[in-house]
Amino acid sequence: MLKPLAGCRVLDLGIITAGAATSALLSDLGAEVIKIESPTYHDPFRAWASDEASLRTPEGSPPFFRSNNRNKVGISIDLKQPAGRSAFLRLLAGADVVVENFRRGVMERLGLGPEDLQVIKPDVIALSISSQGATGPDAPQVSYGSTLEAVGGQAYVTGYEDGPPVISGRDLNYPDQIVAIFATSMVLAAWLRRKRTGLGAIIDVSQRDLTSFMLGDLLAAGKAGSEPVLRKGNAEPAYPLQDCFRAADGEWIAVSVTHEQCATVAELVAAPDAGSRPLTAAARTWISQQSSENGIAAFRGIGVACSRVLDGKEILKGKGTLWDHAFISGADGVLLKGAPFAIDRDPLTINRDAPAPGADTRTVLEGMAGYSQTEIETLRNAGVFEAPN
Amino acid sequence: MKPLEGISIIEAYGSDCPPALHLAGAFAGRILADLGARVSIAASDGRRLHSMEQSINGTRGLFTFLQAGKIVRPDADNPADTRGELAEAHAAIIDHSLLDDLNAEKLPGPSVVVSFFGRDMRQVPASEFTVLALSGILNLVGDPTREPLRLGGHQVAYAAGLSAATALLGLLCVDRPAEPASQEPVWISALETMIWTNWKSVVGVEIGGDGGKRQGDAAEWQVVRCSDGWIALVYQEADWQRLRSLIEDPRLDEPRFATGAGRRSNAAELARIAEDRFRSFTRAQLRSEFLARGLPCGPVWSLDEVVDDRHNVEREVFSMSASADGSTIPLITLPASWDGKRLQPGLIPAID
Repeated sequence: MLKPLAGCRVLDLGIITAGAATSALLSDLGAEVIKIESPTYHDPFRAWASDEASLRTPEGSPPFFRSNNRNKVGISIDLKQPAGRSAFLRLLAGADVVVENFRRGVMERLGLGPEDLQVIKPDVIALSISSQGATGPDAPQVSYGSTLEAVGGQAYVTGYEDGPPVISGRDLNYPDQIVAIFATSMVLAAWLRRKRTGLGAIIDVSQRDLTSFMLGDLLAAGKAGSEPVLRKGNAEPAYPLQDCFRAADGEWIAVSVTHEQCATVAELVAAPDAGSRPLTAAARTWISQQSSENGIAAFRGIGVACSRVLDGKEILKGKGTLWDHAFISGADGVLLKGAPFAIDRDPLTINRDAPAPGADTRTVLEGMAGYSQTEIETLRNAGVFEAPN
Repeated sequence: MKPLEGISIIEAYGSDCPPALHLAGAFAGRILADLGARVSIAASDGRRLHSMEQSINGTRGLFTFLQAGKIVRPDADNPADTRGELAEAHAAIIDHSLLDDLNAEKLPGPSVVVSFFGRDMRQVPASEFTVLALSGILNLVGDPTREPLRLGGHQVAYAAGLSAATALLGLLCVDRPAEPASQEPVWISALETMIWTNWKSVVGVEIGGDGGKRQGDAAEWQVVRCSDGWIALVYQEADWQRLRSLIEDPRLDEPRFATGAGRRSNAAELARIAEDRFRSFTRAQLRSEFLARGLPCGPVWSLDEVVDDRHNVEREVFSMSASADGSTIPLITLPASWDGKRLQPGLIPAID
């Protein structure tokens, strides 16, 4: 088994997607992840799509929450109270990484900002993920993935040739997803450095910066004095023909034809010549007369990239062909989010479902922070801890 | 000390490497170079990437962005020399056509193989666009009455590059030779990365979701016009009253806008009403109005505006990076600060 983060303990204050999903990836890579919520503030993702009672675990977690929090233990301590803060610091003594994605200033007001943590534990790897970074005039703003696409440049370069900028919308929330992969890479880099040097790290990841970084070549182009980048729909310079076309069965198929392939495709679709416009027009007509299956087979048969435009239902059926580890099943058979890559030959499995709030408070605080059960019960009754009866 | 100081990484691409996979590998290499690794590229691969700039993007900038901080090594004379180079480095980023060139399935050290679909489907022709189609993401973007729309830029290649960089860092963290399995290359599938980012569309199916469909101007969140451009209209239920006070239109008093469900059902009309109001404001003015009300704010900045934006300038998101030819260009830095500092991109190498 390849577990790069074997022996690493993560205190996971992450919520919703960016923070919680990062910690989920860290657990996939072998880290022991302790999800920390508060008796007065549970991860808001617990409340998303929570009306689908038939698909909840006995503890009541909806699939979206389960997807970002499987393979974690869960505790609940009120960090606003001195006794709760004290418990956190006792856990910090035996931890390696702290992950959080609260609004800027929340951790600092608790006296648990990255610099505070580093004073207490110099080799800690403190990862903060935020929408717009820890500094700068926009840092305090409320943001969502779609606003970050707007200010990050992604919306500007996405859109039909005759239309406005387009955001990917709340169903995808693209910046939230990719930040989890990037933030995981930063933790791994810090872990590697710590193994070699003993040094900790304070890492501040900005989703807005990442959104722009994913356009780094286009951003460099503008300042290099190149032609302005314009929205061109699905067109790209590398492909004289690239677009989606509707087949006879109503399905959309996506096609990308390189310059070298134009002549061959012109023959296939009976285009009058291999120029971009006549080729596109002929391809549209030809595809509209084919089933999507036949059209795709014909294009692929001559080496042209061509695929049907799928939706989530069709992807669901693609285990073993389209995906292997992007999704994994919980113990109840419900499909949950997996990982974007797998470095371990052993398949990723769910060893424990996402925890209920405070499900493991007693065992974690006793085993890792040295509390007695009597102390835990006293503090639970005082509202500092949350644990099942 | 930069995190990967002292670590050497080779990028190597086969003769038939698809451009998108070259971009994916180069993106991963850029991240690792920014982290301090000594990342080397073959001279011919550098020339090939530079020559792709116009054909792939129609602009310059690709080579500059992706190769900053890397070292150019002479081309290997034969596969045995390539294997030797791979063996000497701590780790490697390659594409699957190089495995074919080397007639190898294993490599001397930790490595990631960038691919469109993974090992078993590597012969299937693909592009970033067709990967987007198979990932379901294409289906989510654009107007439902016309062809679906791709995300701008090289999102598929660079997302695969994120996976590649992360996986390689994972391999470097594993103790060797205790774990001989770490010698097996890790295959990165661009499709699986993109499907994973679209997880809500898939997981949501099991709770009655429709698998993700584009909604165009009926989307709850969308871009609307203002006097000097566009702004993303993004809000949650708790923001509604404040947004309504900003739009200040009596049509929003109608019963159909009274509930969240009603607003979602009439999102197109709501956006048009907002646009009627916003047309008399610039993006900067709207930004002030939104912020004064604690509303999420998303003015659509052009690429030059992103570089010049005050938030990015104050955070030093862009760094004036030097080329080997003496010129300088603002290059975006790695989207993370380490101990309060941005990691500066290295020198942009010369192209022989």
